[in-house]
Amino acid sequence: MVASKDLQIEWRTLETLSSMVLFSLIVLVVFNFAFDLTTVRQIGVARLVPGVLWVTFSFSAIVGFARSFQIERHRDSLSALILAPVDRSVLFTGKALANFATVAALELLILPLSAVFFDYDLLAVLGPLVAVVLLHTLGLCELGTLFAAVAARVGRGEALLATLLFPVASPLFISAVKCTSGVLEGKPLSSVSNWMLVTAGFDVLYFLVAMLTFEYILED
Amino acid sequence: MGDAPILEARNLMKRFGAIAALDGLDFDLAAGESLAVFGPNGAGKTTLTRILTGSLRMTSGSLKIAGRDPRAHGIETQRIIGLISHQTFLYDDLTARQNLIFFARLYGLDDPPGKAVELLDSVRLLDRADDPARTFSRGMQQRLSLARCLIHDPRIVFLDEPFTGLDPYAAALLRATLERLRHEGRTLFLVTHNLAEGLELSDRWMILAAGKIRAQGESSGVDRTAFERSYFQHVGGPPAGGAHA
Repeated sequence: MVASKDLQIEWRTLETLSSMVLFSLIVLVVFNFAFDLTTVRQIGVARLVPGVLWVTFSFSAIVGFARSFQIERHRDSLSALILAPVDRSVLFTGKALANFATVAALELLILPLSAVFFDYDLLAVLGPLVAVVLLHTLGLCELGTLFAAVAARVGRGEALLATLLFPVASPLFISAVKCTSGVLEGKPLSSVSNWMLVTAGFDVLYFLVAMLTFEYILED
Repeated sequence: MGDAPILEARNLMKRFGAIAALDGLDFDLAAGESLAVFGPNGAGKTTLTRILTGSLRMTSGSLKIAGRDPRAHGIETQRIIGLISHQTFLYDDLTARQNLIFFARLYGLDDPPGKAVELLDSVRLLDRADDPARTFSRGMQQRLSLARCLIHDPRIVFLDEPFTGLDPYAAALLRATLERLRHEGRTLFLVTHNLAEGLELSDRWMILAAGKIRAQGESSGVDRTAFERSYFQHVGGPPAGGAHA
């Protein structure tokens, strides 16, 4: 129900998604100008595009994570959520799910655009690429939601969120780039299965840590 | 009023570093009783309310709500308490109806849409049910917040300066609602700066200053002028030029 409420608000305003899409477009355009098609072909799509994609996704996601708790701070709705007779882990799961849906929607918009900008055949790698993106996005959203809650309680916003998130999420980003690169080279998903398994393990670990700590983050 | 206290606080302490925001509070609240808490800014009233409603941990002491330790029985305790604050806890981009349906679902109520309609009608906002909360005036938002607070039929209602920023109509409606809640036998814990209003809406009063209970007593038959003088004596005197509650 928390996820449903957040998505209902987002559907009504499109405030978060529009900011994320705009930011992503700017990043893609900048990289598109930085690397023309000749340079892309020389370097190789599989070497260049993964980094561009995950820089785009991660920085855009920060906007979404921060906003997910800003809506609770405006009228102190977070206090009402804390007051409710639900386990705090339910609140975390709802927030993380809403963030995942929003970031996934962004990625579904950006992937086709990146294929146009960097001239690669998205349809040929769609299935494996979506699997890689969603698995890594799940971990990113779990961590992002957790640290967004910390930043919201401390009152420091996006600057603190980025400072907390990126170091802890670095294994995730490394795996994301490796897996995306392998998929864009046309390799089967099994060729990056080790990285995928490690990421799945991190996703579970992040979830468990969040379940154990979210209550203490929300309380003063 | 029942015999067993619905709220028991013993030696409640809350420290923020070296500062004792609450310094050994002992008080009970009987079921069905209404307690008004007065005190100057920084007295610890909001800190106390936050501890009693579970959003802040006490440093030491014991607290029982309906016979249970909230730290061990948090979810059961949260089911029977409600909070109205000067903040509304609403979502501006949801309609009044959507706000109440969300909170009804959060509290696990049957028929959330039906409950939302019932409460919107009780606070005279049914005609604005499908308007976003951000289009509401301050008074209307507080009425919606009242509906949100009462949606799960709480036994204890905490009110932290609920009259802040209300126009006379909204204040009168809130006052009437609080009287109705008292008549229904609910327990009220009212934090307010308005001495006269607090005395009118309470069975007992308590003056908090610098984290300590300075005085408490029965509200019935209290002379307002004498009480105001007594209040200033307990909190350290009126400001220069006199003061009025």
